[in-house]
Amino acid sequence: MKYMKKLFTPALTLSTFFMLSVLMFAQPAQALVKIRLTDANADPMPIALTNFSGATSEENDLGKRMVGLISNNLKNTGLFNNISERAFLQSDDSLRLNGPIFKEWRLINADVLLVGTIEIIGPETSQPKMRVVYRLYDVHDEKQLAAKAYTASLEFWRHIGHRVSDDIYTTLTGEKGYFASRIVYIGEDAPRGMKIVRKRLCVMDQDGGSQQCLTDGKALVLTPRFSPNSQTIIYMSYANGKPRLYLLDLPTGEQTILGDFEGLNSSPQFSPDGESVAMTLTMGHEGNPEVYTMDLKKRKLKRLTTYRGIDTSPSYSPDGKKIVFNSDRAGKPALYIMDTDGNRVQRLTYGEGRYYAPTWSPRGDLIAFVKQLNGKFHIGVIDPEGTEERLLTEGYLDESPTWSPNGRVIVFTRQQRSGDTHVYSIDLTGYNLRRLPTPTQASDPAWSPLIK
Amino acid sequence: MRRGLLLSLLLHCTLVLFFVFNVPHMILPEPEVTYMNVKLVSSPDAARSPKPKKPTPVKTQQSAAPKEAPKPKKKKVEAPKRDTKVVDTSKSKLKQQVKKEEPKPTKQEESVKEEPIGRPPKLDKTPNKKNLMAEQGKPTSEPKEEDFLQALDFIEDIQDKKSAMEVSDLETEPTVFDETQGEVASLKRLIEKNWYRTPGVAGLDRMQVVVMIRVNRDGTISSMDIVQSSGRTSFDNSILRAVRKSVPLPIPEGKYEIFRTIQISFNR
Repeated sequence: MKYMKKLFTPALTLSTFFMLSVLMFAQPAQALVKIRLTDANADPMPIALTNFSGATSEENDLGKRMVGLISNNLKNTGLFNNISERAFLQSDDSLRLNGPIFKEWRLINADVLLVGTIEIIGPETSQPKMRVVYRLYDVHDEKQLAAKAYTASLEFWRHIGHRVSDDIYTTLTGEKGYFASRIVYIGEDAPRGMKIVRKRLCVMDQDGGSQQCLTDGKALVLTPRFSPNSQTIIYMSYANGKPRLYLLDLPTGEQTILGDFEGLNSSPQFSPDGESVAMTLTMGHEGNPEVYTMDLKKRKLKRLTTYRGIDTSPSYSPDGKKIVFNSDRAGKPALYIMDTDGNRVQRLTYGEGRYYAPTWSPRGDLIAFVKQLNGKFHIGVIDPEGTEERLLTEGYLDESPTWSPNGRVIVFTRQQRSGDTHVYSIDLTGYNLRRLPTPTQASDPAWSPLIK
Repeated sequence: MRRGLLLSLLLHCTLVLFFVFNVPHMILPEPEVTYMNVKLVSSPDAARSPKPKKPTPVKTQQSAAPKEAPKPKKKKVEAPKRDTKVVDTSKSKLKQQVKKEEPKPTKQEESVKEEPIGRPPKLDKTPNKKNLMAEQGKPTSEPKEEDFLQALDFIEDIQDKKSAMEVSDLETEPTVFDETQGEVASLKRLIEKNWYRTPGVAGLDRMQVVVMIRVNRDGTISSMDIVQSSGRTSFDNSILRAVRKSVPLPIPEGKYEIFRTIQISFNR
């Protein structure tokens, strides 16, 4: 009996131990549910934008206009659903007194809420200023996502509105904004008394505000491009009867010729550091266009391509190390990438159809182009490795794509069969095609970098 | 003497043999009944029914789910401390961003002044989210009669094929997890419906997020931690927001123990 006990005790303890441990580990083994998210809601995100409030009616007026501008910016991205003001449960007064009552904003299904104040400083002075304070809230977490105060001269209210829009956009999407930017384009109209169509160099805010034309329309102008600091526009003009490239200094309005090079001078583009310009020149090549770069300080010209066919439309990569261009060296026009010294030329596109007008995205991950295929024109994008090509639009004549400063939206020229020509924008995903509001017909758009 | 020994040995042997072969028959009637145990396959108690000792190859997803569970559980126990930090840094990052961004005036915008501002004044919080949303569908946990009949059909099949693999397959497929899967799927759909993710964001393919949620019995959230951040505050936030928007989470009745910890992940 003693023997048995001696044998049994350790065995019993061991087995009890084992049983217990099995029980202990078995319990939590079931208590974990794993969910792997795949699809998100494809609808735009519901947001509530309340008017910036002030103490006077003048301030309230300005606050309302500014939020209207912000609302329009965000709506135009196609990513946000601005909840109608009429659905709001919490009044402006209550908001000012109590701050946001998040429960009421959840009830109208808002995900985020914008609240702000506006104050005009020194309204009686000659240089009145304003101070705008905004806060962006997560309605479900009940926490502040972003907040900032801007003080500026009253005349810059649109710019401030765009800056706030960019802040909201960045906070919610994680991408840089693009609202505080301008677009230069060729405005086409035929005013009374003029028989021919007048083509002028015009600029506007990206939302169509602050329209302004910079040339008188006496000479034909084409292909304008912004410099990286947004202060200079380079463009092609027949001002002296010959196609030459000109630099227009925006603050002074001063125009200077880049160089009087023989033959056709066309498709200019600034390098990302702004110190040189890539362009197409025919020089003495019997009308054969080649890609050149020019150092703006040293005024030194460098030839990058030597081929009997057409080499044109150079565009820098955002790191300034490569240039994508268009060439028909393999028969039909295709896209090629080379180093900025002209070496290591590699073909990028092998698809059907003809490729034109490549433009490297500021984000670096894509190159936009025009593709002519089966009698239709498309705006498309391709990655710099040439692995995946996507066509975003289809039209009678879609051309001259240009990127938003954050590489998210493409603006391009669309000409209808009727000859009607306007500037359109499309999201990188291929959705949200929109016509930009220009007072006249418009073509050849170019987007500026973000203006600080 | 010798013959006696031999005889006794023979007698003993016959006796032993007799007992070995005949007595069990008398004591245990109809031993065939035991194999009917297999019919318990599709009842919730399947785990307790006797199993063949062969290692059972896990084939179906359903059977895999509960077995894998312990590992992440362990990780999770250490994780939350780190997670709260992740949340914190994301917050402070936000602040840094605000501070970093200095006005770079161009000629035109020289007079624009920009400044970061801090926390908002104290606001009255309204934490009562409980009754905002209607209760979600309730679970059904009783084993159905059809299941039992189906199991019987299967047994016939097995007897025909005599395939050990299929037997073990059936036995490691408890119905409990079939039902949980449906409930997990509907929870997933609810969160996805409330999730607004910016389409076409650069680097979406490389983003990986893991969030651990502890749920209260009423479907509210007791804690939510980012175990793995995507590196983008906006993207992490969008997932947290979707979960909060789904409160009260539809916890199936009687399965709180299973649903008290939920892991939400995203990776392409």
